[in-house]
Amino acid sequence: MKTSEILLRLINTFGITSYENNVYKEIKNILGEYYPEISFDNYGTGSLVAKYGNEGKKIALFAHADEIGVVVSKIENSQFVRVAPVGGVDPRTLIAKRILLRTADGEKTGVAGMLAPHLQSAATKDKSPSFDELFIDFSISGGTKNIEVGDMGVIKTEGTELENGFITGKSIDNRAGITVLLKTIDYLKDLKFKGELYLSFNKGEEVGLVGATGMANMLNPDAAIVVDVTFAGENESNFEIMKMDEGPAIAVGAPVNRDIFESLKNTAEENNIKYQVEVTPNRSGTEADSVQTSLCGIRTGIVSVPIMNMHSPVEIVSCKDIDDSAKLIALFAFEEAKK
Amino acid sequence: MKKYLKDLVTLNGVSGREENIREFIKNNIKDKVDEIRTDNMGNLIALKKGHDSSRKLMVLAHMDEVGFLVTKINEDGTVNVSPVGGVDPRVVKAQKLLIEGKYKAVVNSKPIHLDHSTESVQKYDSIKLFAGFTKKEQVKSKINLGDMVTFDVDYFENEDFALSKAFDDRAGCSVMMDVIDNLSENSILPQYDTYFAFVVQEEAGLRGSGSAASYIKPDAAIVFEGTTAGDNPELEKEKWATHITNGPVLTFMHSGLVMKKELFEETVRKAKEIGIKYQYKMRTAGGTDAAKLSRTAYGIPAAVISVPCRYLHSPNTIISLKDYENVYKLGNSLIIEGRIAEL
Repeated sequence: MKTSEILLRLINTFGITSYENNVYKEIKNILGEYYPEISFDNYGTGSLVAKYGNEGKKIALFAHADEIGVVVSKIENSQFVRVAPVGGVDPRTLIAKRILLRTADGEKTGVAGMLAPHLQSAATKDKSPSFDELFIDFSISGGTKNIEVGDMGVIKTEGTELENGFITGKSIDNRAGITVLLKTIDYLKDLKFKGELYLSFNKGEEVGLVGATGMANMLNPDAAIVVDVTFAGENESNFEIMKMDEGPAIAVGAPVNRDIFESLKNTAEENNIKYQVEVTPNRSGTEADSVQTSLCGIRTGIVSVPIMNMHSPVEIVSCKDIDDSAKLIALFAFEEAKK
Repeated sequence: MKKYLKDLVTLNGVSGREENIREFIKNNIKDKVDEIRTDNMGNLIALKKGHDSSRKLMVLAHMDEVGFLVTKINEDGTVNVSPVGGVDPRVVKAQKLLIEGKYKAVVNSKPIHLDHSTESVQKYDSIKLFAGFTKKEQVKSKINLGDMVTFDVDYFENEDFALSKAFDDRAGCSVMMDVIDNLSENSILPQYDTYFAFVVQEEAGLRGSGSAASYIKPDAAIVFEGTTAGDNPELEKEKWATHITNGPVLTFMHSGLVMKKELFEETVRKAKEIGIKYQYKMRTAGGTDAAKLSRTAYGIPAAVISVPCRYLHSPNTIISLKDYENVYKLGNSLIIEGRIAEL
């Protein structure tokens, strides 16, 4: 599988929380093209699971399939609507962007507007508009006549390759993680893997870790790795800064079992895979927060792909980091299955 | 009509870097006019001879668009930019940009998890572009200080509306090209010698039109522009300035100038006569090259006719194509009749 191709297919898919089925369809297409023997199941609230291997220990990899976006909360008139965030959306990232809305009548393009600067008062010139003050203009696609409150949308943008193999676009959080899961199979197929590997593509992470909780209960694996993205290039000032092109970030702290952390780190070192250590003293903000504490407790680790501009339409990732993350996880799973 | 609009807004050219737009216009009009020249500033001036050479009419639109120049190259491979013309930093965050029309770049956006102050404005001192370079040395072989940076968007049209960057003022350039096509295809002579001036550097402070006018020495001018429409739910109706779909915007006064009354009245009279919808600019903020012309040579009077634009000076500006058509109709008949040059 060519990493950049799969990633672009996935990030160009409309998959705001509750529209994960679009992403699932693309995942099935991709895996079907390369590994037709892999079987799929849907559990609980509808998350998708793919199974690889039929013997030995159960190892589960978790990655959320949803992305942040907006929902129509009020229709102002024949051209304008107001929206509310789905997940952690910074209203500043919407300004002067195109918004792609799914309606019963098909897709509609709008423009997120704000008051023109020369029409603003001095008081508002140094302030970014909140969701209350933003509006989406649908004059460009026939107005609001077929738009309903509750219709959902994302910032409209095409995934693009930048210089030196970086990819930019929306929803790299967490389609980068999904890509890691898919690529793991690529690396595992060359090893004599003796285990049951579950790839769990979960719903609803952005609105509160919804899908992973049920999936952890359902799968009850011997070991779990949650794959998500983390901040590259900036962090709280008392934390190390993760960098792109410096390999996967392996988390250490409460939401991670110490032995899994050690094992991931040793695997990386033994196989010359560049890695970074990310400290998560309390909750991690990833699905590990719910997976680890499920049932009688599940041994859990976190591997994150560093990305820039998280929760914006111009998230950036290095394909090399995705490949290295997949390679690390495949080798970890191979060793873990032998234990 | 509208044969060139999409191409014009898709081309990139900030103030001082109008060469691609100038070449495009020149190639498309040179065989349809009597004389064509580029002056020292870069203004493209084309003469269409009229029935009567005793008076001269100048019509103008500016070729430049707002954008940025690269001002700093950082150790981490990112670059800083500074705006050319008025670009509110709030419309820049998390945008896709294009450096020299060649390198795709994106504008940084600190994750909301690390920046809860979503009311604060990310200003130019903290706006950084990432184009895929992670070291200063990599950048230096590709990107230079002073390189032009523009919004990276495509043109989208649906029913009577169009969406793109740079309608300010490629819409004006496009109207003028449409008029030239009409004159040439239908062998129409305007009343007076008419100079079509596609000027530079309006956005950088009305820096191009003066030298074009000094060369032409017209009796009067018509400026075609894109102007702000404030018709949105965040503003009371009386503050809208202009409204898209309400037709050409006729200006009696704007920043730095009260129009010569007779010229303004002629635009209103003509709009009524040809039976099109029109509107007045209801706010006087923002200026055009008309202000510059009034201070050029002996003082050149000008009329201003504009296409109203929502989200002006942003990558996603919306215009009504009906408004555009009516600006063309009004401009076309004013140019052919030439009365503006008699007033």
